[in-house]
Amino acid sequence: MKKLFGLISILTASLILGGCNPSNEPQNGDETPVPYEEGVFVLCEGTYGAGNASLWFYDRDTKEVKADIFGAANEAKLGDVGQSLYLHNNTLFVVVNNSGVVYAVDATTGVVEGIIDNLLSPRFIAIAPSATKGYISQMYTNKIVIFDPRTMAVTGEITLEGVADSEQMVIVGDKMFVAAWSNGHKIAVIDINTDKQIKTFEVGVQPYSMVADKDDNIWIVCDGGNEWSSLPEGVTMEQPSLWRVNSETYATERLHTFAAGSYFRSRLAINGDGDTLYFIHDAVWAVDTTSGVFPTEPLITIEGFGQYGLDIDPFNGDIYIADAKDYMSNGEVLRYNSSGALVDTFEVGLLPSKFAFK
Amino acid sequence: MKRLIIILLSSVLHFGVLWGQNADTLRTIEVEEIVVSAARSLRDIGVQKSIMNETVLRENLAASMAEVLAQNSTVFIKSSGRATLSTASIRGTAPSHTSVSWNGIELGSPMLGMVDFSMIPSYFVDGSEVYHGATSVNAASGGLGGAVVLTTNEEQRQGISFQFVQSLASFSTHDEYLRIGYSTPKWSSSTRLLNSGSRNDFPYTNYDKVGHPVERNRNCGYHDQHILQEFFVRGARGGKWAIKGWFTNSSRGIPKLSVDYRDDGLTKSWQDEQSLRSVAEWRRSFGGLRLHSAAGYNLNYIHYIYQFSKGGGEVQRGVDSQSFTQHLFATSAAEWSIGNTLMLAANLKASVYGVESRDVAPLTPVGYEAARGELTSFLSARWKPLEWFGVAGNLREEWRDGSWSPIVPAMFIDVTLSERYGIIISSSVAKNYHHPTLNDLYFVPGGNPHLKPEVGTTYDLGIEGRVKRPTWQLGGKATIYRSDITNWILWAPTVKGFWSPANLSSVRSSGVEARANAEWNFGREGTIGLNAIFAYTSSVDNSAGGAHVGQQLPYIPLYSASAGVRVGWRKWDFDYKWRYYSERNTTYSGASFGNSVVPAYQISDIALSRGMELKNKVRFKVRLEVLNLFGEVYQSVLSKPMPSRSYAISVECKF
Repeated sequence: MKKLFGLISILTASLILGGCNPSNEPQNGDETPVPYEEGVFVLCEGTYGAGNASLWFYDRDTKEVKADIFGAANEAKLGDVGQSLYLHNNTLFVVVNNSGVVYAVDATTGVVEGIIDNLLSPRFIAIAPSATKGYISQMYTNKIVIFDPRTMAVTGEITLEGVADSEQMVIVGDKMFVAAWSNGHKIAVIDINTDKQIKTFEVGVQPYSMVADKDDNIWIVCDGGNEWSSLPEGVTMEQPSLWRVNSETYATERLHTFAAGSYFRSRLAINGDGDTLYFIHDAVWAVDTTSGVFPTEPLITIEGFGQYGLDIDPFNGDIYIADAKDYMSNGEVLRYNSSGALVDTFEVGLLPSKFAFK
Repeated sequence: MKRLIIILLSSVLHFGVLWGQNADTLRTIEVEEIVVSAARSLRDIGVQKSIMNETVLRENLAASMAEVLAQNSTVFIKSSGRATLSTASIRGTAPSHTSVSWNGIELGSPMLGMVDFSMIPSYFVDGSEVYHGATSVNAASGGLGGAVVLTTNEEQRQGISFQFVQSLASFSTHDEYLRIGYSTPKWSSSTRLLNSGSRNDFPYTNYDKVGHPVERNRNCGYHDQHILQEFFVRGARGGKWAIKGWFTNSSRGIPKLSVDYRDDGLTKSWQDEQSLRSVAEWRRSFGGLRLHSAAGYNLNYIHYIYQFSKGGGEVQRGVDSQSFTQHLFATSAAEWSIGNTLMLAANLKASVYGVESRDVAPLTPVGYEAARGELTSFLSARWKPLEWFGVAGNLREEWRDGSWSPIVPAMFIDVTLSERYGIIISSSVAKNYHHPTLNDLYFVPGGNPHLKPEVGTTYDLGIEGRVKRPTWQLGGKATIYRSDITNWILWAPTVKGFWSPANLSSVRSSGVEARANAEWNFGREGTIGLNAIFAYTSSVDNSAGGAHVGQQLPYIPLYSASAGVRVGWRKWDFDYKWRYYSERNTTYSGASFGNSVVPAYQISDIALSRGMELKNKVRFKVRLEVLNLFGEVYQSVLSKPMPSRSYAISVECKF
């Protein structure tokens, strides 16, 4: 019996020694926040349901890349499906869709300064010129959340009429244009002084992305829907299209219709001068916003089909393409100059898609 | 890894000090059985399999086959906790590469290909065998990694039998099990009922969220009911008939991610499932000829719902996915033993599968209907020309939807080096095919009807041995293997914006499986049992020119191990169980930064039980259990928290 109890006690002791350190708890080390002065923030969506979205920083001068800066500064995960970025003053708003959260992150330290949580399906951010009011669009609901970007307090909501949800938002003067992408074909217009809907007009099926140019025209790309879209009665799937809308008169022009079944791999982006529109549709295309003429040749020819995002550095016109590759491994960012010459490439996290430039 | 080696070594050394004692044996306990016998049956020539006997299966009422396999075999179970989807990977292959049957009924979904082991209560299984690698072709086709064969047995005792177990555990968890049987020399009946439920809302420190709040696991309650009815009849001419029906009704919340910042009322998802598995079978022996026929029907309905609140009391379903799968089969088999040296076997199986899958949510109205017919034939010859040498060969051929698959060959060899110590070297080689699932072929959007079958070629080499003395025994087995799988089906993004499967890659899986067990009977009423399992699994992308060549497949641990100690003294039993998994990547680039990696973890459980008897007739047993004894903070699936230390008590009454 003595040997029996000897065995149990020694075995248990050895297991306690081996087991009492919860090795998976984060280990505090030298966690002094690293400053992010001038460069490019890259948001990686991560895999849906895995909670592995990440935020990276690229120094455009030194070409140094800093991984997972949110995790490093906050000892926490960014969340599930990094959806969009919005840099305002020195605050980076990070929308994480399937976590139902928007973070206000200090764009120098990466430290979270405020959180809006319990959001159904947040998609994009817009900040009013007064900088006292911000908006969060949402999928699955026709309600836009109004918040104070200084305090991250929710101050109200806008219930949209005639559209089911909200996607990208563009503010021009006192108006905010809201695309109703999912199963929709309309644009809602909000007066940001009263937060009332003042207009709704139709464009192509599923207005997917919007930007405003230097002349305050709204450019809209519509993906046309697909076989499993549950479109409103009387609306059917159609070919993808590019639209231009006069923000004063709401006059709409269908400037280009793309081949049936073709797919937009990026949203619309516009350069700092607001005179050239960019997007990926099999290749990178650049459209002069003044003429509105669709070019015959793409600016950049690309290979594969992992390109998942595109944006333009407003400070120097460089083009950044996010390549998600096979969606099962780390992505890559390709940096081109405005003429289409490759400047640099660097590895980032899983499914890179959005950029913010500082 | 150092800690793992130290623990294993110390366990073995401590045991070594003790096993030399001699004493008469009045009490024995069964440790997990390893099939090692110099005189093993012709049926097992060259076979690499591990058996979980009823002692292991009846340890814990709350345990499903997911927990039993994770603790007692080298099968890797990917699970995010009790009553959540638990899939098996054998030797680093995909969940769909594990063939699973229960009393001859295929449990693998024809739609998804995989089996949720959390839906199989261990109390509804009386025998469990895991066929590793090439030897799976003896049990089923398509098991590129292996096969799990589950069976129930007839109660052997005559008259009325009764068993009731009540288990209560942390987080409002309860399990009730009742088995009533009646047996005569001509017929018997067995009824089993299991009712399980839990709020499962364990507290945990959420290190994934900003500020590391203490939270509770959310939306993870479940309520499962199982009923199993079996009738056995012995015919006047020696035939045996059996009819078995197993009905399951389950409703389970889908736990929220640790990084979900939404209230429970805002979004919620859950899954309801009903299934009926039924089989009628007949067996008869004529001297050395054994005949078996069976026919069965399997119906499964799964309803997955994702629901959200739009405010003002308005609720909408974002996903309302319903799937019906049906499987009808008939099979006949014959086995002919000619003396003790030759066995011939053949069987034929016809199956029809049907799937109806649809999402009726207003946002995503998609779905498909599909059916598939299969005919499988199997021939086997096993020959032992010498006492120390056996050889076996199999041929399997399949017909699917109008076309024949290539013949699947397999060969097995046994060489006995020492009868005294049961030292046997066994080897096998087999080719195997795994056909695309109906989702792979027809799912909307993305199904690819042009997919080819996955092809696996597997080689095994194993050595085993056993030393048995009046008061102690020691056994062990080690296997090295290699498996090359081509045409591996992966779902990948397409230019159209949705995902679609394709025969994209090749995978080379190789590794070592080792296990050891020991038992020592001390004094007149004491027993110590020890078992240890270790697996090294290298499962890497081997696609020519691929971007991930040489990288470990996501979620496959390179190292895994488990060990158990059981000490019995008079009416008392003490169990200690331990499991370890090395760090796992969840993508092909997971190691490059932290948030796509599941860190290594080890879990310890202990249990103490006391048996009692009333008038030598009614037996009682009380069991106390502490799970995750050391409160390990861990995740098994990314962003899915797991419970810290928890407690359970169960009371059993049996006669």
